[in-house]
Amino acid sequence: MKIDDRLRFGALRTFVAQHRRRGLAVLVSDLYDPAGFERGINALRYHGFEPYVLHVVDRADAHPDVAGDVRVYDCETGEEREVTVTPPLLEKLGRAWADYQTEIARFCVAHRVPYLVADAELPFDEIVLRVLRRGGFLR
Amino acid sequence: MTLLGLPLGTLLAVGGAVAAVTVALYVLKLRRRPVPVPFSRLWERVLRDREATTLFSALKRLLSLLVQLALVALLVFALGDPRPVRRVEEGRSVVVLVDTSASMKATDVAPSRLDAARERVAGMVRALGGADRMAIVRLDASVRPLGALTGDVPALEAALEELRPSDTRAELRQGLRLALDALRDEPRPELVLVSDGALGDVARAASGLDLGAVTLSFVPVGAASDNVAISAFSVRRYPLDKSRYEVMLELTNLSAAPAEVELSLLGDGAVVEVTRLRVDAGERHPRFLRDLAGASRTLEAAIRRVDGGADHLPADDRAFALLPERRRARVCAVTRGNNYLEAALLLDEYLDVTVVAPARYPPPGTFDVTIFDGVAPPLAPGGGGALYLGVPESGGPLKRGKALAMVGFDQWDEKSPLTRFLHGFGDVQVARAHALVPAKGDRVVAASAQGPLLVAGRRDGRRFVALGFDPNDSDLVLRPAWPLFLLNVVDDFVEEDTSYVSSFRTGDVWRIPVPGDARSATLLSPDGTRATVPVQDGRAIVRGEAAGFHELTVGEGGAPVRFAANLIDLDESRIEPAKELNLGGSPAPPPAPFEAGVRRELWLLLVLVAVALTVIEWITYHRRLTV
Repeated sequence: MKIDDRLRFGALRTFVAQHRRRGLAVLVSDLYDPAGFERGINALRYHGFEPYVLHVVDRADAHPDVAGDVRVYDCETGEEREVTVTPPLLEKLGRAWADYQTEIARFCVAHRVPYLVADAELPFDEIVLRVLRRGGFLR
Repeated sequence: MTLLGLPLGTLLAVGGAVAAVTVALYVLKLRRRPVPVPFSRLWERVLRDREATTLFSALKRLLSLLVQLALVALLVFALGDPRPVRRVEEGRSVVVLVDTSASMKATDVAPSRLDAARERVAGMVRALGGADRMAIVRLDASVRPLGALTGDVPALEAALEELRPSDTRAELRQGLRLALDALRDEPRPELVLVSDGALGDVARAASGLDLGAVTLSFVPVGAASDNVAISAFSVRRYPLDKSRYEVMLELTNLSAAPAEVELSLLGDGAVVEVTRLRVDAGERHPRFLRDLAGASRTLEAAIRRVDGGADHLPADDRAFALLPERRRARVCAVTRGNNYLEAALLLDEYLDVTVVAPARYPPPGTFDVTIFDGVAPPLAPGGGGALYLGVPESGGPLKRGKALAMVGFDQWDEKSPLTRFLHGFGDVQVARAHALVPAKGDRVVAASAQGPLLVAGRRDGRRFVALGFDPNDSDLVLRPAWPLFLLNVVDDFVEEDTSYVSSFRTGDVWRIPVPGDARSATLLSPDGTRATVPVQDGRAIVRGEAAGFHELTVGEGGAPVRFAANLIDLDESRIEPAKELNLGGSPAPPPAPFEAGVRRELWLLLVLVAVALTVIEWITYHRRLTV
């Protein structure tokens, strides 16, 4: 399995259509989906898969090294926005990022979806062997 | 309010242009730096809250623009150098007379009185108000302004640095005159005298001067009065032994207690005499040092206290003198034979005497002096000055008058160099003589009651001295006055070309004879500085300021004329500081206080406000308070 940091609802719908045999589905992603992370997870659940969410997070996303007048653009969607980055704004961004993580965790818990957080700095082997084992995915 | 800088029209034009550029820069949209983010929705969440503050942000941006425009307005206004009209009209005009005379070299206030005076004036300069103007004038023997009335502090500070003490007295009257002229028609005129008070008779110096509206104030300098001075110093060679000399000097103790002093005499730089003297308080102690040898040209006297007492003025502790130059004089004696004459001429080893009979005159060569003994052939070219011992009936430089018998010198010019040292001149008896008839311009040096017997003058540009009798017809040749008279005549003739130069007094205008017809000469001062001085009528004109040995040179490679100068001035040596200055009326008060602190020129304040605004803008920008 390859870690795909771009979760798209469309991609998951294709996945469930191509795999008729239901079973365990491990979702490794940053869950940065403009359409909402819930729809992808729900798609797995509705099609009879048992989703496990391994959320790869990069804490640098919460505290980007940027200041002053800049034009931020989404590296996936290309959306742009002019913004003057100030320390208060960066504080708010950090809080928004944390809220987003909390929101994901709360969703998974509410829907009984196993949820693990993995630091993006960790190597892939570490994530698979140690993180999944620690979370009880592997024995 | 008035503008002393750029006019209002120019200011408006400059201000408008700069403001337009500033506004244009604000209106232009800056190209922002692109930054990739992994999930722009997070940014949207944050910025959604900020949408409500857009109006506030616009206002802050407008405020920033207004701050920038205010900066522009302040700086442009500062270019106009605005002044309140009242201040422009009410500025003080101050002339500061700084005493730089010799007494200001006193070290009773460290490092010297002049340095203390400079510090006091520097304080006034720093405290000048925005509309105040000041001029600094150096006050010694030559009163010199060191700039015009100005409010330019650096220029005034530079003028202060130019102040140097001299070895001269202070000419207070000249200083007051110059200051009053400079302050004429100036607003709020003030005259500040910074001095130790060693100014001589100040009431006399100020007599007849009308201060008018000028406010006089006085800044005293100095703390002590202990001083021992060389108040007189002269030297002479012995007429009959010019290798030896004697010195007369006088020490004056201006302290309140007796002083033990060591006096050193240096001849040509080497010590020739050291002696100790005790000088009572206030005493003028003359001292003769006789029969000295060991110096051929320069003599310097120096004193120092050896009793541990203070001597605060070093300038009057040294004195200088130049011994008359010894040179061999060439003398031609035209005589039929005169033992008295030839014997007298043998007394001076520095005479080269040629004796020649009248029939063989002139002998080859040139001479400084020709002595005609009872004869008067035409003076040959190169004959020098002529001494006639008896004037023949014809051929002499002047006419012979009536015959006289049994006469003597009833009156003579005691100040003439020809009669110098001639004690007992009035006892001379002359058996036969002729009264001389001086021509216009001739000078009668000695005469009997019946007529002139010794006349000096000039014929065809050459000097002569004529005696109205044959010395052998008198008892003059038997007296000590006879060789002295001959040597006086020779010295007088010989020294005319080099013009015996004695010690000059500093502060006077020196007129020093120089050879040739040059228009200028080079003066080498004791401190090693060279200056070109003008020459008028064969004399170099020098305003002497430094004591010591000077050298005057005419042209390239010319023989230098040396002379000595001394500070011999008890008014300057009397260094007791004056507590007050009274020019005849009431004592001059200290100067009104200047407004200390920053000079109140509005442009400076405007620039400071602009800088403060810039700092605030910078801080708020970097703390993202205004963006």
